[in-house]
Amino acid sequence: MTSGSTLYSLTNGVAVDVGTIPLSGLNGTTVNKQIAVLVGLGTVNGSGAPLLAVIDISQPYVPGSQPPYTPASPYLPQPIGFLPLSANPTDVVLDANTMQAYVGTGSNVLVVDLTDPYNPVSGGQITGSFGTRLALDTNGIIIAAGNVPSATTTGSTVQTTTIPTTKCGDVRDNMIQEYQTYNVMDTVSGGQYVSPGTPFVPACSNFTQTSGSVDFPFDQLNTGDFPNWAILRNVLFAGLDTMQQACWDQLGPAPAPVCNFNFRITSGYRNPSDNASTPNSGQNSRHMFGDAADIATSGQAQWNILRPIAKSNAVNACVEPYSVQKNYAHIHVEWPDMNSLTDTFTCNSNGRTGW
Amino acid sequence: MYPISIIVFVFSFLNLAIGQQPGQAPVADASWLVRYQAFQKLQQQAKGHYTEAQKAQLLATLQQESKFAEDFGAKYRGSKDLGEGFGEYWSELLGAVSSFADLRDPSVLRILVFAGYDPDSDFAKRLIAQKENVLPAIRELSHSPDPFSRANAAGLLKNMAQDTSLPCAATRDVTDMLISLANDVDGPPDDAQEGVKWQAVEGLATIRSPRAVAALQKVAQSESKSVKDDDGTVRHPLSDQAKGHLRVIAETGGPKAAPCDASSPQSK
Repeated sequence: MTSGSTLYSLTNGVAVDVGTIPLSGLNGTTVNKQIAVLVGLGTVNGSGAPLLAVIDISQPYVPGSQPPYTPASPYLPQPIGFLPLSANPTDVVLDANTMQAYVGTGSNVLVVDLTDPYNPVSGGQITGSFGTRLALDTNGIIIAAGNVPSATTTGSTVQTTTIPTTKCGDVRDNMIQEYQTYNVMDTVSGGQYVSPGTPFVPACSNFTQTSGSVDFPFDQLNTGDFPNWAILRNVLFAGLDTMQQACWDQLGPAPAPVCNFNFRITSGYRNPSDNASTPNSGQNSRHMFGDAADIATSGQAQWNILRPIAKSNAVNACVEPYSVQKNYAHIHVEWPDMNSLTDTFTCNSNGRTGW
Repeated sequence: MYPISIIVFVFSFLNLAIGQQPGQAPVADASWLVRYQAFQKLQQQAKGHYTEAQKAQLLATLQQESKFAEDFGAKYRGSKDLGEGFGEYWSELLGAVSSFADLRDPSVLRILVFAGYDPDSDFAKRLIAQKENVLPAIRELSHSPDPFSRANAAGLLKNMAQDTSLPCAATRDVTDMLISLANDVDGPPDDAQEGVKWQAVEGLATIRSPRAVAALQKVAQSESKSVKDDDGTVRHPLSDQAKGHLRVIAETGGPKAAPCDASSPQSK
């Protein structure tokens, strides 16, 4: 199965579990469907890898079915999602209540988030010496079995642990889900969240309800669909504060510009769904990382006054050139690769060639 | 949870569900978003090591996208935003091409001059380091129907003006082109055209030769487009900017002596 440009093949099965979870259809409706979660060995783009596969088995399998499936022919189960695993699997259990799968490895238990079963993602792991076989009781206790040596006994055959809580328990779960649904990639970060070129799935702790500054409070910087939560990095409002002060102080290269206006933020933080509905937005826009803002400008004169201020040593912003926007209606500034304002300014080397 | 014998049936279709490796994606389509996706596929296949055919394909694509952006700017003159999404694609495409481009090749240099959207970037510094060899492409850019491209030409010339090692003929060309752009009349006197003149004014202030200063005085005396501040004050930013530069020049020793400051006979 191909997912995006990645080719997955699961060829040697080890274990499977089944359950019923809500699946979104192409027409936007959600229906409960039975799925199977398989673990085993296979390949990713031709290279060997341990894998987890999610299979839609919402209709009974008829032996002898052959692809492609056509209406009125025997139903063929459909693989809908894959995830490479960090260790060889020995067993899997599916928890339909929490939309998570637990994968035994003979040591740690891997947690897989199936909130979007089309795009299963790692939910971390339960570290420990767990046996190769897993079960889940009705109280949410994972029971592992296997002869695992321990420090206190010569061999423990049964181990137990509780299900880890990986959810935020509020709308942040929906926001995190959006990052997975829209496959938001970090293409320029210097490592603030994840390595460049990898998907960005924020943690609960990446969100804030209060961050901001006197000049740019939370409500002004959060322009997304969720009024109470946003991702806002310190470099954003610190940089905006410095820019605004430099403008009020008429700072900049000689001749000193007339820059006596209050910045109006037309776009700050965007959740992925909001970003997708913003005309001409970037699919990996820094607005979703909390380090970009659009400041309204009245025309080229204000634009050309603000740009050198934004690019000055005191502010060090990446500024989208007018020739990319092909207008002067706003100035887009971002701080994608700096952990503090004193870091080296490296827009170009981080993928924004020509900025 | 279930023994392996139970799951054997599932793998019988899994193997059959495996697709083909993606083939060579065409980077020529009507929509830039589709072209962006084709470019991303090519990038994933190449992993930074391009074949000669892929290099030619990427260069042609970059030229195509620059033309697309140029046409957009010429058509809408700032009334519409080309957008961050296209910029994301453009920057990645330019980054890919600049990783292998031979700037000594005039045809490649021309493509990159038209594709380089920020005259103050490190990338643009590599372009103007080609000295007089890059001037034909910049001259062509300075006559683009897209005012944003002409503003870029002025920006490149501004930065070239700081190169004191340029031959006299090239220095004269730089000044002539900036004077021409400071009087830009190619299109309606709108904000986009003011942007061209603004960049040219910055370039002339950098040169500050007697001819450049004379051109600045002409802009300072012109009735540039007005803006109204939040407090109601009406200003003329372009002529104010030229006046500001003239004030700084007067306060810091006046025009610079410029042995190459005669008008070039083959300019324009």
